Amino acid sequence: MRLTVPHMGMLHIAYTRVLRKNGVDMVPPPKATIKTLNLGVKHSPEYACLPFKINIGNMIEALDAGADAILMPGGYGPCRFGYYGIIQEQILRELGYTFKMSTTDNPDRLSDMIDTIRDISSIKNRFDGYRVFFLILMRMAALDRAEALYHYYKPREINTGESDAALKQAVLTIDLADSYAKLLSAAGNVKKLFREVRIDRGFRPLRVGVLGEIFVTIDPFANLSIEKKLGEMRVEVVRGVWLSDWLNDRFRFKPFRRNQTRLSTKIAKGYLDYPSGGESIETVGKTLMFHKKGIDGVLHIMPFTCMPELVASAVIHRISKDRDYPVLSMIFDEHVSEANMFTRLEAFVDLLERRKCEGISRN
Amino acid sequence: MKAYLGIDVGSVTTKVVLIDYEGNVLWNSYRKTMGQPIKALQSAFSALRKDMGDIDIKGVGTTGSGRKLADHIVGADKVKNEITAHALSAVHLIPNVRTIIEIGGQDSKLILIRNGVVVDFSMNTVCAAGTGSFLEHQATRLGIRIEEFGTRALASGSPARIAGRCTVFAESDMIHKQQMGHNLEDILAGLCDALVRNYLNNLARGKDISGPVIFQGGVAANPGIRAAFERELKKEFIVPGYYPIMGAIGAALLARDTKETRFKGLAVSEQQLHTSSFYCSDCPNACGVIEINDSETVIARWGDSCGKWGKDLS
Repeated sequence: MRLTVPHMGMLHIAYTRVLRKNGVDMVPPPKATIKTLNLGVKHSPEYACLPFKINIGNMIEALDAGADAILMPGGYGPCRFGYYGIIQEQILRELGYTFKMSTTDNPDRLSDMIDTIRDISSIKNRFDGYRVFFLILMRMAALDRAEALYHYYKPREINTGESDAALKQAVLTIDLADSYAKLLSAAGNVKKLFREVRIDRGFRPLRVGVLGEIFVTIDPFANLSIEKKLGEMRVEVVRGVWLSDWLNDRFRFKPFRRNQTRLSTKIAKGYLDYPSGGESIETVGKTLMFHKKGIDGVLHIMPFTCMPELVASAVIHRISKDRDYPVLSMIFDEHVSEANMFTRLEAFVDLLERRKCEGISRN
Repeated sequence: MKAYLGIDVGSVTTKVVLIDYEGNVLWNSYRKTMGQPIKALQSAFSALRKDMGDIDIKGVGTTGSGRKLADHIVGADKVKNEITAHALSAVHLIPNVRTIIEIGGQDSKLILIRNGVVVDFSMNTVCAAGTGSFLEHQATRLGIRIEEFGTRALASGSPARIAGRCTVFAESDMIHKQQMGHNLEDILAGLCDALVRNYLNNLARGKDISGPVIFQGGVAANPGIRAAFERELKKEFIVPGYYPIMGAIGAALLARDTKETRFKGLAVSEQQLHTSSFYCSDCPNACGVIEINDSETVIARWGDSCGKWGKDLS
């Protein structure tokens, strides 16, 4: 069995090497390109969201590269996503591919995840299943920490590109750490890598909170590398959604990190009393949190036709009005116009900058 | 005298202005881009040279959708988006302005200003309904010149009601009204109303439009649209004298704090500039790479998402 899993941010880096070591013949989809997107768009329902289309593109390219089994998280999902695996299987079968499709029944339940791992790998012992699964989670958390460091260093770097190189090296370091012991020393090395980036210590960049639907928010291919763009404009990204947080809310592997969904639900009270699917409650809760923390503004990212984020978008624009807090919503799909997107982003950053200057002069 | 140059390369027109430090317009030019921004820019430059001689330019700002291209060609000190540039010139002209309506060839924008600072903005995203190109297209279809569109619309006694949500539907609805026997003036006035409705529905939803309102951009030339906005908003409504070149003025104002300019000089108009493009085949992204050549030498390259073609040069 040659297994593939569609991409989501850097998730594939967390699991590929570990699963390979445990007897899974992994075929990760090739890095997404325009060709991936075109394939996805061609074979997807028009009103499916961008993540669905990129998934389909990933699956087709992986199957063409020799994969014969697909693992797709599914079950009851946070939104339409729960149903995606089933539709994607049908689309691929109609295209004439033969493959084995596994969808996890309930991606929120630990025992289901362990069963899935035992199902696909040479691991038969339940305890070993836990050990491997938690190693993957820890690797994901390490990757997220590296990216958070990047967000800090990028706007402050003196030599353009140094923090990008550091991130690249950090990701490689974490990728090679395929045991708990190695991961521990890799974490130290990652910090060292970033400490070598020369930064302007006196510089106080604007801080923009980045929130929204998790796939498009964390995937640079889906969002036209918007975080890097902000960094190049010397703006510090404060991201509110992380894959490791999402996983931690379900599998509790970071003992000192609060459950972010619950925390957001608590803060969002009064504006959104019940989760309306997806990351909507996080978007609302964290917009309020960022406002309180003094983050300069919020960039809200969502795929076109995303119902949960559409609800959140209406709510956070209300917050924006009530609290005089700048919020910009950006909608992504395959028709997105880069020029229009960056014009608005630039104008938003100018707006924040002016507000900040005025604020200082008033005090 | 210190002079500053502002360049606004828009989708349909290219604007060049020369201002002094106080922001007074010394010279300006407004011409159609005709799909050839470089030519348009060069001809504006040779006109500037002819009218003003070799004037000492202390700073250059570019804006508009072609701002990067213009920067590569002339060497700009400030490259800014249109929203910031328009806001700056409007505030410079009318310090207590609170709302800016800007409608250009393919963009429309709404900018809210409080105490001279941009506090909110919106811009049309995918739909071109309610922009200059749409009006021009309809004018051509009806066989009238765009310049007389507005005055003809003002002559209407009872504007036809035209569906304005989408240009395609607006067009078919317009044809329907025309076949029903509405006269041309009523249809033109109806189109103006539809455009304004569309603009307000798309961009102004939930936003507080308060006066003074300033209307700029090429479409402000159309008295029919101006009248339709006034009817709809019932606010103090100003169309500045320099309405079509406000973006360029904003860019020039931004360039005023330049210490040492990167400007390559007006002689750029004499260069044999041409662009070419190719698709990079190193990965399946197949980025379209664009290069500008001065006779045989490549002077700038961009469009590659990995940045390797641009890097080769410098």
